[in-house]
Amino acid sequence: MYMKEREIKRAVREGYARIAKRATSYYASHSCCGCADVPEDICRRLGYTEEEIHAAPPESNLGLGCGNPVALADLKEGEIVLDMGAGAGFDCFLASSRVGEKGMVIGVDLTSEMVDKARANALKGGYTNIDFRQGDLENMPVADAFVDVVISNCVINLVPNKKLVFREAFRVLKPGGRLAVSDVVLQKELPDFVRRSTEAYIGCLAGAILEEDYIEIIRSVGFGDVRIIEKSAFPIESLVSESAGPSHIDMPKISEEELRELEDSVSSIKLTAVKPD
Amino acid sequence: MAAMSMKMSQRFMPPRVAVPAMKRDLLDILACPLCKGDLTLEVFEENETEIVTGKLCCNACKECYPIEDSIPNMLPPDLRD
Repeated sequence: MYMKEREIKRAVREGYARIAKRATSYYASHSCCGCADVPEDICRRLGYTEEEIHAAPPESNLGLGCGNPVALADLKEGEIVLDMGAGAGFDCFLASSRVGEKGMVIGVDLTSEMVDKARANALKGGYTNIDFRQGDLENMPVADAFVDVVISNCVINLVPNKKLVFREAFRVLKPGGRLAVSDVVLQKELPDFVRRSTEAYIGCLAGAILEEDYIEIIRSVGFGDVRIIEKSAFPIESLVSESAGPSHIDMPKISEEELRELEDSVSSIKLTAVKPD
Repeated sequence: MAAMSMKMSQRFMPPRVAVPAMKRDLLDILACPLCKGDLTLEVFEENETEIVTGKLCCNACKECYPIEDSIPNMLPPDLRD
């Protein structure tokens, strides 16, 4: 780790604040048909159905995820869901319709600009069973054993202390509660030039850890029945390309050869786990 | 369970309107991010649907978390700007 934890959190906050602002202007200026529809395209690749893509406010879809944790979570009516790293709220809106009026969705995000956007989207869409608040995933503002399902989409890699995050997820879940996560993990250590890059950290690369360590952390905090549902290549190309749309992250310029090397190192995984009864 | 006692000792505070039902439930779910203690809500300003400004204070460690522009900032104090 080249950056100190506080510096990382600051960089992540500032990076995602920029993305939140840029996304607003993207939708303001690209609302015609014939636009690239980049977040929607990304979502199709990640396993969201057409129905889901259109069920949530379009402004909530920043194309920043790497899976569809709501689909993994098998949500039921009346359940309480916590989204760790809710961003502009896309997964919360999908979860909201699954749990219905008797259920509740709480979205927590580190970045106030993202919480602002999520809240505006909720107001615009008339959602009443969602609450967004600013918070730190290592220090969740949620009481013990109150939540049925914790979801998280491509966020935990951004948090310096992943064990604390999973410990918090375990703590807030009721006995028998489920964890449904998609995230970026490594198959082998990243090359140095990437690990040192703040941009690569914000782009979900430099903070990612080895898959075996990731799974071990989840088990070590108490989760059982840890299952990797799917594993696929992480679309690094979309991160480094110039036309990556509103969520484009300014990645370090890298050669074709370096890109190939990275592609072998990075995967996105979808997994579920259960807090034992 | 989160206490709902409202400290209304401050002068010049607008009269409190009932917190919508959903927000009451929510207060049970929320906890202090530092010590996980129960929170007490103080409302400074609210509209028909939500609390616009206020604060959530921990009954145990006494740390307070601001609600500004309807968004509760539950970051630990050292992460606040």
